[in-house]
Amino acid sequence: MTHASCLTANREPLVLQSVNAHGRVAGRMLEMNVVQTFCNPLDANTEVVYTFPLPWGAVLLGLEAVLAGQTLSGQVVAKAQARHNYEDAVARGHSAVLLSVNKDGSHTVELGNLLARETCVIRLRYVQALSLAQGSLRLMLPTTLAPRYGNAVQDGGFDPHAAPQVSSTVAYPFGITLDIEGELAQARIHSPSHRLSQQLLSTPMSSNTSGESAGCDFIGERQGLTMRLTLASQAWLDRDLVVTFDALAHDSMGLAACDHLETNVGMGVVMAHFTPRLPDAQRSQRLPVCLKLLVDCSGSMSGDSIQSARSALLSILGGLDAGDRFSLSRFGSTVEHRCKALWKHAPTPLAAVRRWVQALQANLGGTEMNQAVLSTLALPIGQQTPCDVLLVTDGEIHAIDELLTTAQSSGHRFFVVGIGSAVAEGLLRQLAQRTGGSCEFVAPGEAVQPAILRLYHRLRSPLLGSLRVQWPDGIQPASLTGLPTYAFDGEDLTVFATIQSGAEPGSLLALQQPIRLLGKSQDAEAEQVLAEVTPAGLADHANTLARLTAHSRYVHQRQQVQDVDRCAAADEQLAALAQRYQLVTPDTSMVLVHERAEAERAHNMPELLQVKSMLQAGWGGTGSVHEPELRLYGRLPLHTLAYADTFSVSSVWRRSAATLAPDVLYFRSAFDAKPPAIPAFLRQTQDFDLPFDNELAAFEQVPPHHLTTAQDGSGMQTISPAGLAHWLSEHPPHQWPETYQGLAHIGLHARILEWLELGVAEGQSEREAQVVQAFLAVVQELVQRPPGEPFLWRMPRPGTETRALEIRSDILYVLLQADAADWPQAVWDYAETSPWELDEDFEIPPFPRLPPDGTRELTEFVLRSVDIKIQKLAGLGLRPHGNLLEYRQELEDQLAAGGPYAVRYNSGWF
Amino acid sequence: MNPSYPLSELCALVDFPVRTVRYYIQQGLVDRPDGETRSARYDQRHVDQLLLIKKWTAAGLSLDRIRDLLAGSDPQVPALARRPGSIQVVSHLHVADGVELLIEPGRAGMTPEQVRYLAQGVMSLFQQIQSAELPPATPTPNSTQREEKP
Repeated sequence: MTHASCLTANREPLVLQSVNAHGRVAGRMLEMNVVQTFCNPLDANTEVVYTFPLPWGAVLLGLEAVLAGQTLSGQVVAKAQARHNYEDAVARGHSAVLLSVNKDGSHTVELGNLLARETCVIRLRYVQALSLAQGSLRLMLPTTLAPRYGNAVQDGGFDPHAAPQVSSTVAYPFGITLDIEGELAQARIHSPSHRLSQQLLSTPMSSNTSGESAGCDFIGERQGLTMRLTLASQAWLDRDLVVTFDALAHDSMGLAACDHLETNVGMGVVMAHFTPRLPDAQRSQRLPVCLKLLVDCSGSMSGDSIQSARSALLSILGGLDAGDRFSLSRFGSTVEHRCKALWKHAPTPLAAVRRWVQALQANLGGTEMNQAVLSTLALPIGQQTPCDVLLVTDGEIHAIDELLTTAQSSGHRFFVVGIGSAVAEGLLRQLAQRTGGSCEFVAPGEAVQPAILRLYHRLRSPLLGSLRVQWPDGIQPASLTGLPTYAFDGEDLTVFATIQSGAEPGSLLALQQPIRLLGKSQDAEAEQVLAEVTPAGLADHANTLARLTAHSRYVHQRQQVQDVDRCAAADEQLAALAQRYQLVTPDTSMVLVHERAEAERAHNMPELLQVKSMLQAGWGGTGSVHEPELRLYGRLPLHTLAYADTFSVSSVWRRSAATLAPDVLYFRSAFDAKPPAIPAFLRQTQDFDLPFDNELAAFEQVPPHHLTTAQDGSGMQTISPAGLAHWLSEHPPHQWPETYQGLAHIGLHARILEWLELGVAEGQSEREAQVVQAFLAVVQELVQRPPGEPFLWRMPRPGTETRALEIRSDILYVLLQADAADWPQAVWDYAETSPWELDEDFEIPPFPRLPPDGTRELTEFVLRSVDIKIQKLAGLGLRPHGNLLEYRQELEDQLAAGGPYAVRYNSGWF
Repeated sequence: MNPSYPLSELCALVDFPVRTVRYYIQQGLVDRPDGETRSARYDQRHVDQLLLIKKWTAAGLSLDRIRDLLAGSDPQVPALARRPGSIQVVSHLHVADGVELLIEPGRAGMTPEQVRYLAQGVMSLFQQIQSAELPPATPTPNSTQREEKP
């Protein structure tokens, strides 16, 4: 007989044959049966190790193995005992299965002594409580573990043999059937990750048709409509299965059951999904937000992920309103802040960050998330409290402990937008949960708007704190877990309680009374009822509800023990709790042993076959995840979206928008991760004029004051005012550039061009030629005046357009702060907020515009200019015109009187 | 005569979990024991190997690097960081729009013939992928295997 076996392209034997799942979704519960089929492809006795993810919050309830024609069930025992049983069985030549949970929440199954060519089927059953948020539900079933940054053993806490491994050549088929029951079947169902076909089953299914195991009884009998979702095309274990349910009208609901392990004392358990609702007056309230945006630009974000991140950020920026403040930073191995402090919502800063976002590349190497978060937290926030951090990332790191500690102690809420086709959900959820924030996820190619809208609803609605549960009279819960510190309007929170009902054992009536969630809104003193639920009774013969409750208790207590003080006694009690309720936890593992007859035993140490995970689809830019064709709403292509969303598009960008290729010279020089040694304007390229033409054969010949260091954090060199003036003096005016692009070609830094375009021209492209012309004229005048001689505030000839005059004044006002060797700080920081709007202890140069009419600043500025003019005339032995002296007096009077200020600075004689 | 230990005593001596020791043996980092299954015996040699691994993993070496070191290969000095002014010649072989093959023949130790052969192979493979209806990304499991499932 020939044996079938799977081989990869490299002719490696494949041990994992397939994974098939069958799930039921009803109410707020998902019940999932997963079948993993392993086959030993070798002629030797082997041991299979497979590390796989489970959804966040899933509780593993059972494991069965079918081996050599026998079906065996796993038992949960203390971790050390389970390991001992397993090792002992393997050493004696029997077979055993051990399932344990890793620190990051993934699970590892070990299957020891799988004899030559033998097949083993492992069935897992788990239940997950689903959380609805603002009328929508997102079901995420992870299938693979993406490569993570850091050391799996030292940072990630994996045992060496269980550390996840990834291979780009393996492929495992994946099949799934999902039955959606009850109200969810009528929701708008959509999958951004897979092509699914929908089939309506109107009558209750009489028999199990798809390999459901007998344990699937928690949800109860099928009732009413059932929507069956199946995969419409071949799928692989390379991306999360995501199913979204929208347009749900949901309300609080609860379940109550007896704890069959505690029947003698009449213990009952209640699981309540509260959906807090604010009164309409408060719900329509839109509080201003203060956001520190931090985006992951590490290598793993390349390709689809950075695209998603860009559109998420643009959507976030689009949601900002007047009164909001924000900062923007990106990180990888290092962190780069676009803002030195929080910027106000204003056209220029927004235009600046939009441009920055559109240019984001995943080129910052590793993922030093903790360092980046620390650095972002350190950005000054002034009086703006509370301030929230919004992290856009795929979360693929091993070192999560210190990050969680940093975040928890920061006092900031962390909101997360998880990106990618196999996002590290567990880490991101923990981060949000522990800081009182929340998470949204965006699959590649998925529309980001709904997620961002939900995010803003949370950010802008009043904080709901001081949460407590009010029980009916006479009922006192023995334990209550799962209650967070803060709640959000319209978002489920699931609490578990064990209750000494007092009634005779087996009676649930006492538990089926209304329970209420009370809390205080941020600005209100009075406590209000946020939600109310009357739990429905459940027979629950398998004791599933009690096990879920115990799991919640375990997680809660384990966290407290970790936070307070770890002691052996607490560990023992927790292990006992987990063992009593058969829960796989960090203290316990599930083990089963298959005793073999003497003739069938293995006689040597098994060879190790580690199941390598499939590389996540589209990871690090390795191909792109195709958008599934089954879509319920269409969307513009990404770049169209980005540009339609943009308030101002520079001419430079419009030219490159067709390809979205960030190849514009100045752009590249500004955003390259490593500063090139030679500035753009000195590179030997034939596309454009070199500023110093042939006279410069080598870099060293440039006079040092013709170059300056860019103050944008990149440290690269760019042309200085003196360098630019030199170029201008070497070229006749008809060769001078007339566009920003032209300025870029002679080596001006992107930030200077952005200042001209977004700051001076206010993003209006028809002013481009005027602004460029005025800028070059001012630079030439400024630099070429004799040393020590004050600059003359020369006014254009009569008849010059007021606009041109204003542009010239704006540029002049900023450049006057500089010397010829350096651009003024106000140019580099053109989008920073004005200093008088921030804390006094924070220094930011003034906003680089001529102060508006009617201000003291403008009057002082004009007075200085008049003085310079009078001084200059005196130097020539001339007496100033009477009108000028009169005007000077007028200005002085205004200053002395403290206003009103009126400046007639285009009145001919000045 | 050298003392010899069962697996559990060996683990206690070096303070490693049983599974980790077995993993290192399966990975070929530590010699296999004398005897199999429950009669397996370990001696000083195994203790030494495990202590070395312990030291090196603590120092941050990967298991692959440790395997090389244990096999007696020279500890490699990390390659020098590229200096400004150093020249590196890399050929970009254009396969199709958006597909490029980067070859640095010096480092790869390839002869021009080998490079040509590689280029021809890659290009014909690319054409093959483009022209044919794409088969499933990898072989699907044999159907007879699936039917055996309960």
